[in-house]
Amino acid sequence: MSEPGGSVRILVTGGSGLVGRAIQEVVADGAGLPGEDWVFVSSKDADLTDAAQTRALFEKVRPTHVIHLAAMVGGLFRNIKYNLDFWRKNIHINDNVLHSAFEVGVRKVVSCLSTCIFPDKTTYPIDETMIHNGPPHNSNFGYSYAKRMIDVQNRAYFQQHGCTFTAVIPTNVFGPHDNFNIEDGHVLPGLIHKVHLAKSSGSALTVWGTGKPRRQFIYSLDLARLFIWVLREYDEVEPIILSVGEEEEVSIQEAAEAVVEAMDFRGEVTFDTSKSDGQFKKTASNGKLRTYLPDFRFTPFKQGEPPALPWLSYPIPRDLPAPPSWLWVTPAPP
Amino acid sequence: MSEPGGSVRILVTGGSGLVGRAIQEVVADGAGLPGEDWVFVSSKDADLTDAAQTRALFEKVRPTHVIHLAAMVGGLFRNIKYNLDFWRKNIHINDNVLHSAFEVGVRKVVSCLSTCIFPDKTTYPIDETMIHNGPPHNSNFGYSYAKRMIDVQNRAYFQQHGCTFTAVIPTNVFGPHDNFNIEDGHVLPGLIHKVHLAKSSGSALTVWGTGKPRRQFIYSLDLARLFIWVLREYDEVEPIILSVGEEEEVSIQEAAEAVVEAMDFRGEVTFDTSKSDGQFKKTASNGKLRTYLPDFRFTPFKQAVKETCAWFTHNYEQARK
Repeated sequence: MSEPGGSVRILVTGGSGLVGRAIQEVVADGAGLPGEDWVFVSSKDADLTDAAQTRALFEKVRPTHVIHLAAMVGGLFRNIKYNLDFWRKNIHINDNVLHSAFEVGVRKVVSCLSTCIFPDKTTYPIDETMIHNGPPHNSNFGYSYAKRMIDVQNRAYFQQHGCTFTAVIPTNVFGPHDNFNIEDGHVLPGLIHKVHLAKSSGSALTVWGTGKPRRQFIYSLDLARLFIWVLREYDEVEPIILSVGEEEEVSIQEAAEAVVEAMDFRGEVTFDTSKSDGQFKKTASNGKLRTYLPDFRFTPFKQGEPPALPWLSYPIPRDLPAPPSWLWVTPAPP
Repeated sequence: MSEPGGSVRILVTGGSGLVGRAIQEVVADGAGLPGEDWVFVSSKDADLTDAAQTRALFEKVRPTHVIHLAAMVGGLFRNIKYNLDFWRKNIHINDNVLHSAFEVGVRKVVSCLSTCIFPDKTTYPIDETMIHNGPPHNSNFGYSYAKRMIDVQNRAYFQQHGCTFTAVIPTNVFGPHDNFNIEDGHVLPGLIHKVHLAKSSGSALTVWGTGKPRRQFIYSLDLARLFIWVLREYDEVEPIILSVGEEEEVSIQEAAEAVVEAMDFRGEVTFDTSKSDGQFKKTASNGKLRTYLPDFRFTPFKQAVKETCAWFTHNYEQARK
């Protein structure tokens, strides 16, 4: 990626979000290379739904590479209500970022899709060739189509101008700096926040839905390491799924149980089946990733006896980085 | 559509194009109703790829209804070269028009899709429920996705705000005021222009491709009448195909023969098979239209071709080419 005598400046949009912060952490911990200048921006630096502001940002930063994470995102219930806004805002952000990148001569852009955008009626596991093979789940069709159109626009930049604009497709991401808002956030941070509140108030944990839908979860720090690998080494325009394997898929109930055990919650666990479940499954194949990186090791979702979330509880496994102190929800035993 | 004591103002974007001019003609010929004020605009009035200009246009005109025809369009060969531009320009135009319409309280918008945007790998005939069931043909994926997203955005306006924004899906349109440019235009006007030149220069007619692909052609004046019916009477958000029936599908070769006959061309007809054929077929069902309008009569193909050829010959100097 670096050129002799040349430097590389990587602009990361959405730098203050879940994935952006993970990339910051991984780079700060030594994943950056000499000659690489990493610039993380957020909505404080520019409103990316505004074309002029986006262009001004790109002219100011003059990146050679872009990791494009900025988006309007939300959990199931917010998506259901605001499909128009999720469609329009994300189309605007993506068009502004991709076209500004093109205009200032960025050599490579890696954008971020999601497995939730795949066809609703499909065979499993889904893979990178299937993104456009049918309509997405109706709950978040606005968001889903806006994300799919990143891939369309990437291919159009390649077809008309030969640009290497590509994308990754993570499954459900979780980790520090997530949005833990119960109404608007995603399922795992929502569960963590709910257990925290249930413990403090001595009430039950109410899981929305039946608990039966299944998900593959990827830890944000693992995703960050893979994102950096894609930026440096992955040269296809077709996207790549970044996920744990199919065998690591868990139900929402199992995820809730993992959080309950890790946080030592002793109260009642109930399921509010009046709430929507969203998609039943989105099982994705990480076969393409495995052909490139057969030996990449993901942080285990839970491990040890009694089961613990290595990134959330005591004891901290020796061979994993220590989570930052804000992650402690119960004091470490003496 | 009209309200007691209220009036209706219909803004038609792309008013100077093939379909826009046909609607103008049909309205001028008496299809308009009392209380209807028809406003036709073109790129001279506003650059619809610009959000501010589009909003200013809507504030000035203050329409109650919109027929949205404006788009960046082109024939097969231009699409193949400029997929990015066809994607971006059309996404901008459509978002600017739909959102300005929403913001000024337009009651209904009827946009224009095309059967060329349907999935490439599909069963036939295609119908309105199948638009998003797979990727479009690769030759014009930029244009196709931009048009498909009109339907997505329509559904989003309905889901979030209850708006009645809908769309029609014509098959291959032809008629007076088309773009007859041989490089950039569509197949039928291209053939008409080529025959005209072949006659003048005494040379052969060269049809691009094998002549075997099949198309349903709809005369612009018929489409215009149907557009007006949709604006007044069709209240679904899901789009509706406006086309002749499947049995009216013809090959490019048969279309060329119809033009040759209409223009009395006596020279040689050859096929340049080195040129791309585009999609082999796009056969669409007009079943939904027929449940609403079982008795609608389309102008017969050869008659419509004859009228269009006569228009072109008569208006050769001013025609877009």
